[in-house]
Amino acid sequence: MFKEFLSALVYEMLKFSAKHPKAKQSDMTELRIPAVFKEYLGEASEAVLAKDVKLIIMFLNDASAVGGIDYKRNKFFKAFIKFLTEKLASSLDKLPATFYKAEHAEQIKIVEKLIASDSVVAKALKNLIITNSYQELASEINELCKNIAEAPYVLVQSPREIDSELKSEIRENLNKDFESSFPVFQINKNLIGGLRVFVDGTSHDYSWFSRISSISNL
Amino acid sequence: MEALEKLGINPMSILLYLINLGSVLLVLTYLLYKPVLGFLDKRRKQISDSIQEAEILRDKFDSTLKTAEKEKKEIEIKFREEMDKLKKFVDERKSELTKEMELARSEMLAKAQSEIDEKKASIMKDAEAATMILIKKVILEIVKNKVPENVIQESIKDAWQQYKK
Repeated sequence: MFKEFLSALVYEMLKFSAKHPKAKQSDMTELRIPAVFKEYLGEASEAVLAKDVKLIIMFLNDASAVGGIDYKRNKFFKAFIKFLTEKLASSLDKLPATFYKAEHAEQIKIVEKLIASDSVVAKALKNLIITNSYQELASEINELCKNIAEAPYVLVQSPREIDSELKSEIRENLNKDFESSFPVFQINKNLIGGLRVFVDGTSHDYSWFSRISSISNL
Repeated sequence: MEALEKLGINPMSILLYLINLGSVLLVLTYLLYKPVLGFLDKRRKQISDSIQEAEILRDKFDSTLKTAEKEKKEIEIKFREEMDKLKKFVDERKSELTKEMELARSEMLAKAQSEIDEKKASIMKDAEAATMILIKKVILEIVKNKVPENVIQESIKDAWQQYKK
């Protein structure tokens, strides 16, 4: 799923690194990649970058190989996870509820508004959002987070669509409690009201349905 | 003597009478009195022996009687003791059986009461559960269809605040 994005990212990083071998983060104004990767590039030496590129290629060839020790301690993949769980997650939260039902052209318009940049990496990112459903993205990201950062699976169920502001707040708070996790938002009308949060199978139920059920269990 | 003859009493006759009497007495003595007396003595001795024997027998009988009475008394005492023991045993056994019966009766009553209570509690529980299910259905019906959208959105925010706590 992330082949195009990672390929574009690696291409940009290698291109920049070749031109500016000892550049610091402050010198990377012309490099058009997300900030978290700039931070990584500013700290990584040429040798480390070369090693990491090798790992990225291995990952791109066989994503099921993720979970080995190399990936878990690897700064690039940590940065990648951070990007997915913060920046990409935030962008996904801002998408309207009707996005996935909209026409392709409409989707392109919405994503163009959301991600203003037209860099190679930005284009790959836009394509990633348009060509995959929320469930597909969430599933893939959660798999990566679990294998690389051992993050728990967090699911937030609500009876209605949560507005993007509240979604961001919820995501930010849950990320503080469960580092590197990618909370998935799901609509469950049976809750009737309130909220339910699952963390690796443990449920924190604040829904109206559970309160009504508890009355019947008195 | 003349006087006596005047009276018609002959001294020779008296002498003869005396001699006759004497000989009669002598003859009687040897032929009658001695054997009779001998017989009487013998008889007296017999009787005395018999009496003595009877007395001995009586004494023996008395002693046997006393022994028998003593034995009888002992047997009576033993019998009374045995009877007392038996009575005591019977009383004890009766008391035990009565207690057992009472215990069994109490247990049966308690068990029956317990079963009744259990059944009653079970019926109550089932009735309560059925009532609660009905209440839940009614509440769900109302809440699912009649609550405004903004209230539901507010509930999501409130629930999140609760979670944060």
